[in-house]
Amino acid sequence: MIKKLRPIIFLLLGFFVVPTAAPAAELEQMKASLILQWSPQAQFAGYFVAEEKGFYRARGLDLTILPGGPDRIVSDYLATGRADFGSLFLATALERRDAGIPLVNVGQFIHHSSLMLVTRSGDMTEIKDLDGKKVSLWANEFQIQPRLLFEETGIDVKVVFLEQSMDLFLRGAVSATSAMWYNEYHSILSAGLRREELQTFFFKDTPFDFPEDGIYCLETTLQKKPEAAAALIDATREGWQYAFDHPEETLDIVARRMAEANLPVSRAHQRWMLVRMKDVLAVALQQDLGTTLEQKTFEKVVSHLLSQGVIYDPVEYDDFYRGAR
Amino acid sequence: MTRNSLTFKLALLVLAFSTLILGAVLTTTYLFSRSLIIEQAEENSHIRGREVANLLASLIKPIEQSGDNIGLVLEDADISGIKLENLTHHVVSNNPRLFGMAIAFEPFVHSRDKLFFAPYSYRKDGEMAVTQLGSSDYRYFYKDWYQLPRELGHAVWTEPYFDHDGCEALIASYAVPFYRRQGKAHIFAGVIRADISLDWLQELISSIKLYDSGYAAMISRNGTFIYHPVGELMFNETIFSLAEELGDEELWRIGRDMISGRTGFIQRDSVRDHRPSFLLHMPLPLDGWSLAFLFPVDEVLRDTRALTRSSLITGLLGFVIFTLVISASVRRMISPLGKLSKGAMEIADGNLHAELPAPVSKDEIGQLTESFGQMQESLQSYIENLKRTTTEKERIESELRIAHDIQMGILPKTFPPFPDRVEFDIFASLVPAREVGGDLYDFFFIDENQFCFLIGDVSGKGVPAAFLMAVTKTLLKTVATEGFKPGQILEKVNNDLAEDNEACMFVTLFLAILDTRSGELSYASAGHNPPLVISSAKGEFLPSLHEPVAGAMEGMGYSTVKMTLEPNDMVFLYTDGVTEAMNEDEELYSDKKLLNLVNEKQYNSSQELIQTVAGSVATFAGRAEQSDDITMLGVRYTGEQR
Repeated sequence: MIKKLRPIIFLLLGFFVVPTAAPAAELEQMKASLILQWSPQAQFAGYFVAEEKGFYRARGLDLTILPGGPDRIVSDYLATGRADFGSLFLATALERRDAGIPLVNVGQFIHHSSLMLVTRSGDMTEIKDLDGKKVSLWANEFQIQPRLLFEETGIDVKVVFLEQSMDLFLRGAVSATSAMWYNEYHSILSAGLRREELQTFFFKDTPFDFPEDGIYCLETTLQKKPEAAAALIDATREGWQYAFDHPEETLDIVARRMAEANLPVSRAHQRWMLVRMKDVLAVALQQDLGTTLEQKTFEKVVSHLLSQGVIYDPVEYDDFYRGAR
Repeated sequence: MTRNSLTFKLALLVLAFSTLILGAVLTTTYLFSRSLIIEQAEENSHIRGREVANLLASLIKPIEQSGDNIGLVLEDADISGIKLENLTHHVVSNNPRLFGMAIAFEPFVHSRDKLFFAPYSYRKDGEMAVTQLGSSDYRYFYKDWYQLPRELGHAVWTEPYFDHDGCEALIASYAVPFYRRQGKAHIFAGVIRADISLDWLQELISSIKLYDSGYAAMISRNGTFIYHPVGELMFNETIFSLAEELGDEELWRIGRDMISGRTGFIQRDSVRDHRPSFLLHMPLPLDGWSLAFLFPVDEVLRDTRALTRSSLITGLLGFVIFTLVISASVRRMISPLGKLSKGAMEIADGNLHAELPAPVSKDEIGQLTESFGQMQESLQSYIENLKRTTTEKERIESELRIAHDIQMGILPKTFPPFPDRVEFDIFASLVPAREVGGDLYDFFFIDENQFCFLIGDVSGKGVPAAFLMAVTKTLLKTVATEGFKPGQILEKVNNDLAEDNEACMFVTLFLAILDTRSGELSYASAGHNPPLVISSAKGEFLPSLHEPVAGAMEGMGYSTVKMTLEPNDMVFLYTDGVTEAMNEDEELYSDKKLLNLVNEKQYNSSQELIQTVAGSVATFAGRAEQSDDITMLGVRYTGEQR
């Protein structure tokens, strides 16, 4: 008990010892960390901007953002306590929960899927044309939807695991590749291909239109830091709004984060991504409860995952979604 | 030199044409030399590019070969006995351009208990270092350098990447798949990765100098800038994303040409400093990588532009001097023209002695000056002549005027001349023509009751006619007062006139003597117009006697005719100045018109008749000039007695 109270005592002591050191409006800061599901880029502009503009601090949240990457599995970070919160795709989170990590959703930002398959025009016109072909898919949770789609279409593809670059596809080592609309699709265009030279299949147009980026944490974390979760969602939303209102400043922030991570920065690419994020985040920003995970969508995803054997146990919406309603 | 002056026009014309010609010559020369220089620049940059490509090939080839050879060695060799770390270490340390080398195996292929096996030798701070690639955080099977050769089945050059797990540097790798023979089958066993540091590649490209500020750029197979003088482009942008950011479609197409291995030479603004530049791009012997040279157009064309500029300046300067010289000499040549013009104006204003320039040359201007001088002289003498003639004429005219006055003076002009004589009334008028004419009239009493009146017309005009008129009048009066009959009077006068008449002048005469008591009228005519006799308001011409004019020939006979006038009868004498008066249409007044006028009404006095006829003739003639004297004489016999 004493141990739990210690930070508060320290804070109180601090309050009395140096009463003039902190401004009157300074909130008590809760420490928390967030791991993003991918390397720094405009996909996470809202988080970076919220951090840089002090939107988290303004809500009493001292947030540390941990960059993700192909070799950092968010659910592992959450399960092992290396991070309090994580950004995950819904399907990934459900799969991880089924695997035993008690993840809960505290806010859903992206309600539709930006995942897509890209092939060269002329090669294939329908998904079933991919039968027997090599398709590059990301090595972890991003492959759930494609695998469901291939299974539903009844085709067998040879999966080649995909890392950051689109070179497998660009060099013709694979016939098709998974890509995010806001990211890799533009990378392909930036390697000298025209849109009309590409054939695209969007998962949002299939039965597997799964909501994507949401904020997750362990059940226990939520119990310990419910205000932190709410502040995280709210401040991030403000961060996104600011990012779309100030695209150049935002691109500067994103570029800096990327340079810190030794990542190549293409302003054109990040600009494209930011504009696409504006498209996919429209719902989250416009409505009061835009970050609410829809029950119907949730149940659809759960039933797909169950039927495909991605998860084995049904999940109750109320148990899983713990954000604002 | 005003805008209208000949010199100015000529100078302008010369300058304009010479500038035009100069412009045409320089433009042609410039265009020709420009295309030559550009061709040369293209050729030079090609050579330069091939040099770079060859150099690169000479550096890259050993690296590729070392990778290929190890691949071949690994295929059959008993690898369990080889220390692979030693192999890679040996190869890297013996190849200064090789930055690092890894031999990465498929899971559990090298050792049945090892998921990862990938010894990696590389350079670190000038030393050789060795490590093992692969961990849960670095699953090398999923890296491009591993997957590309595996999936494609052949060696590839990767895109540049930052090797997080190995050398922690920006590298590009030559990745060769290797296989193990298992019986007859070839089983994929892993990838040999030979790295090059991009630093020396960038150094190589950045050291290329073209003209003063030209530069080279290198892009990878995907269009990523490997080297570009704008540092932030390198590894961040592809040529296509840059084109997108700049909205530069041409750049996009160039990028596509470049990664397609095409060579091209075009002119466009450089990305670095937006200067118009030539761009040459050509493929490099590095798996789709491509090299571009950009060099400013103005630096390429500097010499030819300088040459053109100096030619232009020299030419223009020359033409300006040429024009000045031409202007000066033309001005000198035509300077007499100005003086001539001034002199001519003075002459026109009346100063015939205006100073004219002396002819200085034998050219057209000299001839003109001479002609002007002659013209001035002619004008002077002409005017002199004119003055003299005019004075002469004025003198003659004045004399004629005096003669005329004298002539008129000898005619009786007081009416009524004999106020105490009631038997008749008489009126006469003579309207002289412009020149002195030869008409005459006279009347006088021969004795108490014999009243003589006459009219005559001397042939010709002028002074001789006036003289003859005066002589005739004097003769007539002298002869008539001696008591002869009219015919005899005319005979005598004719003889006197004809004598010594070398000029063959003559005179027509009509002479009548009225007996104021009886009204008897005797008359004779020497070829004169028949007078009118008006009786009871009806006029009739007296029948013509067809007798000759007086003064032409001696010894002519003239008859005397008698008639008796009734009271109030009138005799109207006139000269041909009346009936031959002409109007503006050159029609004659005519006998008939005269007769009609006379018959129009009753005239109560000779004065009334004469004034009426004079008015009628004047009206008829209008503004036509009077060519002959108009002389009339009328006598009305009243029949009253004293």
